[in-house]
Amino acid sequence: MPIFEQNYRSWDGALKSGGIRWMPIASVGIRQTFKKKKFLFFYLACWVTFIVFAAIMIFRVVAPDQISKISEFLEIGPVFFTRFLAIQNALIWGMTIWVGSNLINEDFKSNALQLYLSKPLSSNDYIFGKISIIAFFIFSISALPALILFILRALILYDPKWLAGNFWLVPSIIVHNLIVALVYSSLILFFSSVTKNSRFSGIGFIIVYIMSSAIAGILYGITRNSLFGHFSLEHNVQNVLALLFGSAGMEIRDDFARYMNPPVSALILIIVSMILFLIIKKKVGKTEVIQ
Amino acid sequence: MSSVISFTSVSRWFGDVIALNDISLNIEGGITGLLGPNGAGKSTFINLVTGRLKPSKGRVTILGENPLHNYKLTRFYGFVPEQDAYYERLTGLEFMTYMARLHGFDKRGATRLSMELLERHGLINHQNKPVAAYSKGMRQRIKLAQALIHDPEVIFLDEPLNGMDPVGRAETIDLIKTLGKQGKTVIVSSHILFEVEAMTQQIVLINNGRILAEGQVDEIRGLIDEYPHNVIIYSDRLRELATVFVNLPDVVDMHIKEDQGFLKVQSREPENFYHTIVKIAVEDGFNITRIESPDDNLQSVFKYLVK
Repeated sequence: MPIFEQNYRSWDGALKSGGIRWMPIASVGIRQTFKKKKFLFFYLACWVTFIVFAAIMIFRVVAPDQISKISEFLEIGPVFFTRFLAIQNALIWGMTIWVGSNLINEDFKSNALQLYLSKPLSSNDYIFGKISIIAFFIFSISALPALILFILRALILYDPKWLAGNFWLVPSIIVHNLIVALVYSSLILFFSSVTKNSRFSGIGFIIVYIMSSAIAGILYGITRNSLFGHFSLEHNVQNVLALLFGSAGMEIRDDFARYMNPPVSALILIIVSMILFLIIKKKVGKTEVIQ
Repeated sequence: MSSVISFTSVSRWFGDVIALNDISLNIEGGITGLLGPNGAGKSTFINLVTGRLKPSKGRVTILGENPLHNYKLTRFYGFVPEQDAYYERLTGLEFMTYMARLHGFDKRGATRLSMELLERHGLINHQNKPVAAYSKGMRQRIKLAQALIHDPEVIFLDEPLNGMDPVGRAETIDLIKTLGKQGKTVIVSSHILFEVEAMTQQIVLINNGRILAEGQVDEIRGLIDEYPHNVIIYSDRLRELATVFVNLPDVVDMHIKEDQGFLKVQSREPENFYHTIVKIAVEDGFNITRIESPDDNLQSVFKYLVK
């Protein structure tokens, strides 16, 4: 092998400094996830809702009289988009577990953090890169199809009045996804950083999701105090929809979530995410030590 | 002018265990071997100097700066960790490109640079194979290549020859020597004196968290010769290998462990012995899959030094 007596030359290309150092972590993570065939099948299945909703939208153009008789649901407005997002929320749940449960613990197992941290990366860059992988998939099965539906509606039934009256849906869809991505990714990454087995990370996520609702339901049932509803991750997420989508979002909430305070839910979710982020940061920082 | 690497009264402990104990040391350019048995404190030393550990006491600098969480300093050094089970699903080229991009190279530059380094390390024909399919030697080479991708001034190699085949060892030693000749500062940790000696004369002896000696390897060479060097050789033709080795004058003892697939040989002249292994592997077609050197003899020297 001709490696003797060869000199190393400095690369004269571009060595960028600062900026989005986490981007390579995100892009490699996304590409690697897409390489898994089973995952690809699941990912495509997540787009079935979009196809159904798009078909409804097109059907409404073709036969507007018949559709209008069926249901208010088929009106293309806030209710339509809120229901779409509510359905996708259930899929986001599975997506988060699939994508995120092994993101950190696999690096722990193989000591890959040694490699990451010998590059110009801070632990924040590392965690943000991992969050971006989950956020990408959440956006791509929720906000992206919702925005495509919105554009489709604007294009095939062009109506400036409708557009002006409903344009607020665009930032609402994006902010809703941002909050969901922040909460779900920080929760799954928390479990991925505290467990060595990715199955346990997924199980931990499911337990928190289900148990938090169960505890909130029991406490609310006993006390009838809506404040206890805020223990539930699921109902806080529902309340974010209510906060961002107004009356349309209010309607899809479970019974006791209707008595909860939506801004408080959003605040709780953000605070919990920040706490989880700090714990993950501490865990990642600790593994810098190889004893 | 400050040294490339400087330790001033540095101690590091984990709970009740002292990993490094009041170390003061300056390392200049060229290759320096960090020699000590397993658990001596070599990895702690490297982790302190690469800023992944905070000293419990004292001050560490690299290129005049405090390395602790100073990720900007990583532009000036490369690190080759001992473990090699990373990113098994990535191909060699993907892995290298990923590492280059983490250093901040743009996509085009990262790919071009990766190809160049893969070629230089004899891996270009394996660029599209997943890292999982790489041999131990190939993994070591790609680890080394990733550490050199940004042309660093200082390179840390943690047990770089561990588990490599004879040919891979020889190539890696030559590669490290080439880096030293170019004026890079190379720190090689190892528990095998023979390996370090093949790369450099400058060594730091470390044991139980203390620097026992630093300087030229010749000074402790005499001590080492009193203790035969153990070599473990993995092959599918152990008995035939043993027949060849038994005639070598430097071989003083030999054990065949057929159930574990290896032959343990004691030699008084390890350098000659390693050359012989390479020679018979190439000329007689022996399939030698792996060579290990337990640190028993080095441990004996350390015992002698601390008496």
